[in-house]
Amino acid sequence: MKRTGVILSTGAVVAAGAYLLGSPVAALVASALFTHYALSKISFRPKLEVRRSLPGRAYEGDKLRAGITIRNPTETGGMVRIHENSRDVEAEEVLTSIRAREVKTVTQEISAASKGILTLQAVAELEDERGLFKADFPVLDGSRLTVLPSPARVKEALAERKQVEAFSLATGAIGIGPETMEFKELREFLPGDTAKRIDWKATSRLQSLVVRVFERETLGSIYILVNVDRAFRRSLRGEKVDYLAVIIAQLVAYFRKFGHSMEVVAYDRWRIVRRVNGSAGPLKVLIELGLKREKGLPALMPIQEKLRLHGPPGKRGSLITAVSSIPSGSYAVIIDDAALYPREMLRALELLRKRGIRTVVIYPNPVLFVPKGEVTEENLEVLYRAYRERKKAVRGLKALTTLIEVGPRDLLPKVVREL
Amino acid sequence: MTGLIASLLLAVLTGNYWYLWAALPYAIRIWRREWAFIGVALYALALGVEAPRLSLYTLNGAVVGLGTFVSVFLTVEECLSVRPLGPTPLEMGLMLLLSIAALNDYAFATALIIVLAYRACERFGKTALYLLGWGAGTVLVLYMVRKAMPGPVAQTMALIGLSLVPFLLSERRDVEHAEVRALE
Repeated sequence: MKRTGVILSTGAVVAAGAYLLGSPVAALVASALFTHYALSKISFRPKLEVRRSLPGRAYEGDKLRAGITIRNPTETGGMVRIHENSRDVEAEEVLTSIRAREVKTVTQEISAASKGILTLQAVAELEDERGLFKADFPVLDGSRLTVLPSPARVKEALAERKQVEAFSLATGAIGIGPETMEFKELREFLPGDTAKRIDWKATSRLQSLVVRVFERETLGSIYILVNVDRAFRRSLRGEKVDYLAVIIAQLVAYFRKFGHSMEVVAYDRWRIVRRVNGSAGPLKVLIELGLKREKGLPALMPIQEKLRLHGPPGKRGSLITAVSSIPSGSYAVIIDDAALYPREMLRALELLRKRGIRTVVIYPNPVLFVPKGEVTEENLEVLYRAYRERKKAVRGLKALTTLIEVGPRDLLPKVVREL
Repeated sequence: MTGLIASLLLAVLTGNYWYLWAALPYAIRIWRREWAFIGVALYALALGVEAPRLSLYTLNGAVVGLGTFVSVFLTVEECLSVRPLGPTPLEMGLMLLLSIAALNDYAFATALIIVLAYRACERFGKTALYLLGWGAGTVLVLYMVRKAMPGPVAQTMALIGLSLVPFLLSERRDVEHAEVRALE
């Protein structure tokens, strides 16, 4: 509903009535309404310069106080209403009056609803003193707002982070050994199980998802392809533990327990380093791989490695060579930084798929391996950006295979339970 | 509050107490500014029906016509504006001037023009010249065609036509109309 509509309609009705009644005084009532409207409209020549100063960065959920300077260089005063159009932030609506040629400063409370680099789009709406006309002006922010995950929430998320059921996902994804129709047992639904296996009767009885498990007929050969490149190992290394060695040992022990024949193929950036028979056990595998601790070299921060997201595939052909050496019909578990060379990884996965080799990629994300003590306010944003870039890089790989992202706390509890 | 005072004086002078309806938009304005335009519309409609039917070519008719115009104009402006209603010392002086001038028709007409000119200049700045120009032009036209006017209906028709001049002038500007948020 518009005030001008009501005022002008009233003027028109009064004018018509005045004519019918033959009343010049009543016609002057309509005149007063029309002339007032006309003067208001002609004198409405607004111009506002609105600047909002924001801190360059903020933490998610924190409330910021932005200073807004409103400069009115014209004779048109009125009410200024500043509202935020971006959905990424929650900002209170600011309502203030401004007079002719006045410069006014107000504050606005803003809280970021999401993380990342946010572009804010505020609009200042100037309504004239009478509330008849209005005009919109952009609010100049100067820069974008970088919102970081708050340290408190990061801690909270770390505390609540569930263990990745990596082994369940891995075995479920590659389906080691074809299953017979012979029923083995019922068990609780785990990530990686398909909906086809749900036993609906048992589920309704127990009020939780239950799946049917069948006997496996054969045991397939498993090839564990491990990137043992120095840089990759350094990016996963903690204070005392070489996580790559831990992951290899756990996988070998796990598959060995169930009697699978297995081979560990170690490769670095340039070539296949070594092939080790996994039946000998985890300790011997680690000794033969020669994964010794290198003293004096600090852990490599993931931000120091540059992701090869675009351009032609690099010269790193060792993964393709390793993949080519696997016989058809077997199973492959690749342990590598999938985000570092996504194009090579993509080619390798396509090759595996063409050859009928079921594959799963265990992707230790180096960002998750950065020790808590090294995360500071200064490098938090850079780490966060690195994490986002990596997420983006591996997005395409997920269409080809099951990609299990693991951190230093994954795998171990499950392995202990299984062993 | 000058609009309210002008209306009260007109009510007393003419004996037409429909002018007292001016209190309605002011009361609504005090209660809630957002809705004051409804009171203004009701006041204008009330006057449109019950305004004295006088020829503008008589002294009494001219003074009442001028007073009605000024009263409605000031009421619309003061009730819609965000500025506070409380009168400044200068406005108190103008209201006193109006009250004293009401004792004489010529003095009252002069006082009404002074009050209108003051308020228009204060609120609209240089744009007030449009109002003064339109007022002078209207008086001149009505004076020039005084012998051709067969009666009040013709005067009404002429006034309505002249009222459309500033309206049409303002339509040259393309301005966005504000919504009444309280009623959305």
